[in-house]
Amino acid sequence: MGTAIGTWIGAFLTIGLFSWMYKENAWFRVVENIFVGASLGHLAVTGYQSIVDIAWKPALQGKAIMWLPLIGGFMLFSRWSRKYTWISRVPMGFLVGTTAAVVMNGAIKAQLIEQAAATMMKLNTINNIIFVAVTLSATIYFLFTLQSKKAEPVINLGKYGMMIAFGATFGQTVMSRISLFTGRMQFLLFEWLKLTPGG
Amino acid sequence: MIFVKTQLPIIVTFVSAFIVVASYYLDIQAWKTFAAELLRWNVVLAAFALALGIGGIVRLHWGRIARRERTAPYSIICLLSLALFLVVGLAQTTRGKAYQWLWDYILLPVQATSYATTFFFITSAAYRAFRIRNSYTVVLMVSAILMMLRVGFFASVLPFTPAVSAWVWDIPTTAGMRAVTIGAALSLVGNSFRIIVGLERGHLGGGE
Amino acid sequence: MLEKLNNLDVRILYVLMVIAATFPLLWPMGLPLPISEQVKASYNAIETNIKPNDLVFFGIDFEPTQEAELWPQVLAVGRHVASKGARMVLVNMIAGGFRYEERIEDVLIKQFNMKYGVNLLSLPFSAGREAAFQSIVADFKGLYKVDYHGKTLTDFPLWNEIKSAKDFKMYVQIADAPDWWLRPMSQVKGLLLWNGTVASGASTMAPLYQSGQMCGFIIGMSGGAEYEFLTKRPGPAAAAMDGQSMGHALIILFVILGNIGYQMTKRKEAEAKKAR
Repeated sequence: MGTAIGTWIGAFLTIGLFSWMYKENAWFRVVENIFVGASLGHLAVTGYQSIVDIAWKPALQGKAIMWLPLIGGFMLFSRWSRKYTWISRVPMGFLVGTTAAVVMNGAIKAQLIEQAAATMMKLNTINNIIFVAVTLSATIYFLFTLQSKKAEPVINLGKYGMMIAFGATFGQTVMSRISLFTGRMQFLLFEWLKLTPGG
Repeated sequence: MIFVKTQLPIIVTFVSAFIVVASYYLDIQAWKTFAAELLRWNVVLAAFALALGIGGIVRLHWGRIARRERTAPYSIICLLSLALFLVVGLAQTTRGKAYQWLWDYILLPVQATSYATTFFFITSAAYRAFRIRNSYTVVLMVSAILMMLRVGFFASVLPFTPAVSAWVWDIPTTAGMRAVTIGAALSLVGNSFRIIVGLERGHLGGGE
Repeated sequence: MLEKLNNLDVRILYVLMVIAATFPLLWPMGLPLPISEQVKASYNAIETNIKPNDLVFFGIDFEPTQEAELWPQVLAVGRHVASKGARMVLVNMIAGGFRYEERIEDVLIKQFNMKYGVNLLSLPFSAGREAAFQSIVADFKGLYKVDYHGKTLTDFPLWNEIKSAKDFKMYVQIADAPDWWLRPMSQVKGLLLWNGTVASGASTMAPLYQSGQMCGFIIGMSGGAEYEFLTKRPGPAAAAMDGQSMGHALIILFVILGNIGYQMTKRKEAEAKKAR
């Protein structure tokens, strides 16, 4: 019974969001706000669970050091006060600092060193030559704003390389969007209306 | 007091980041263990930061309701659905049957459909926005079309498309995206470094 | 005719696209679906590298927004890994995706007789994304105290057999453009990385696959459909591919039509300018 009611609610919400394609209407606005509220509620619950599992329970069980991030977390809420916003700076500095450190470590190895190493291939096939040429010229075009006539062939090769890459991204995005829509239609047709393929 | 308000946060940013960065390069077990502990604190603080963001949106909608704006009824719906998920989730946790029902039949449909509506935007963009103006856009268009013909039915019917589009994907697309990856990585490293050494302070907020 | 082409109500296009994507769901056309070399190679990466009792991380990191593309991949790849006799640890770092973990857990227990706690374990959501992954690398067992169901992890034999992330053979990650997963996990020596991602994020991950940082890489619903055929279990992705093909054909037609109208308008304006 719960499943049947739930499926109807799901269909109501799905069609409500799609109704915007015809024109702006109150049904869409209602569902849009349910979407915002529900997403925020879910984030809040999962965040709370994370805090309880990683910090609160261990702190109560004797791991005293976990009181530090808990206190730091509450200090973050001082952001809402103009007078006391400075209290949030230390925990925010810690949060952003450690995140920046993690990102930096990972980016240097996985995205810089390994990618550069992978580009150093033997230039013994046409494909390898094209690959290295496009990578180098696209990197030069991407990173530097050269306006030199002498560098024009390199810049143009880089531009064309980027256009091919972005065109491929657009093509893939089209695929992605069609898939997402098809997924919702599968729900509406087969789970809600209980139709079967073949009629 | 000025030290606590202005300089201490920058010092904390630097020291905590330094410990984490150095743990990657130093082979000292105690250091690595402490860095791992700091990362667990990061996870806890990240969860609190989520609450901070959510609180900001709640205040926004609450303000609309208090001022009886035209969109106030929608804000009431937003806060009611937030409250529903919060109450059930805090009472039962995400493992409870009632919460899972809410997720399956309210959150999943709205989230899945919100992204599925971009199907219509891409349709409209294909007809109205995708204009061939010069050689670059011709190349962009041909690449996009090859990617779309690469999968499904067309890949089996058009004899040349699998090989050509696989080549376009493997060579120029990957090469071009590698340039983007390297550029993005340099930007990430640069910005991270600026944050760590205190040149970038936007995250510390305003006030005194 | 030119005015009609340029002023076409976009809602007509929407209706045509809906019909193209939906019609084949109800009346499947049975269009052929070739398997790409990349999907075959990704399948072989799991087939050859995973042996019975190998430890495998199975990451399910997507929101319901990407369910249509990634859930079929979770099913197909999850079943493949389980069929190899691997011990699987399910991981989730995206708040919206926790239910998918429970669903695949049900499938693995029912269809492959996996025993929870012995050769299958589900870990709860952890906030922090990249920092949480870095925590797994630095101190995996320190990050988690309870499992997805709230039970103490030390009660499970599988948890007690694991010392660190280095014990794992492979990390299979089904997520949307997860370079934030690959950056930390690539630091674990000897851990093979395998990724299934959405089509729109695929070009970001392509250089990482080409460099050998990932041993397997499948893309979107088409990747899921091809994988379903390779594992001989056609499912929701395979069923949707006819509509995908029709949708692509129509988008290409719209691009061509839109540009015909645009070029004709441009020519008319140029002629009018010349006449003046």
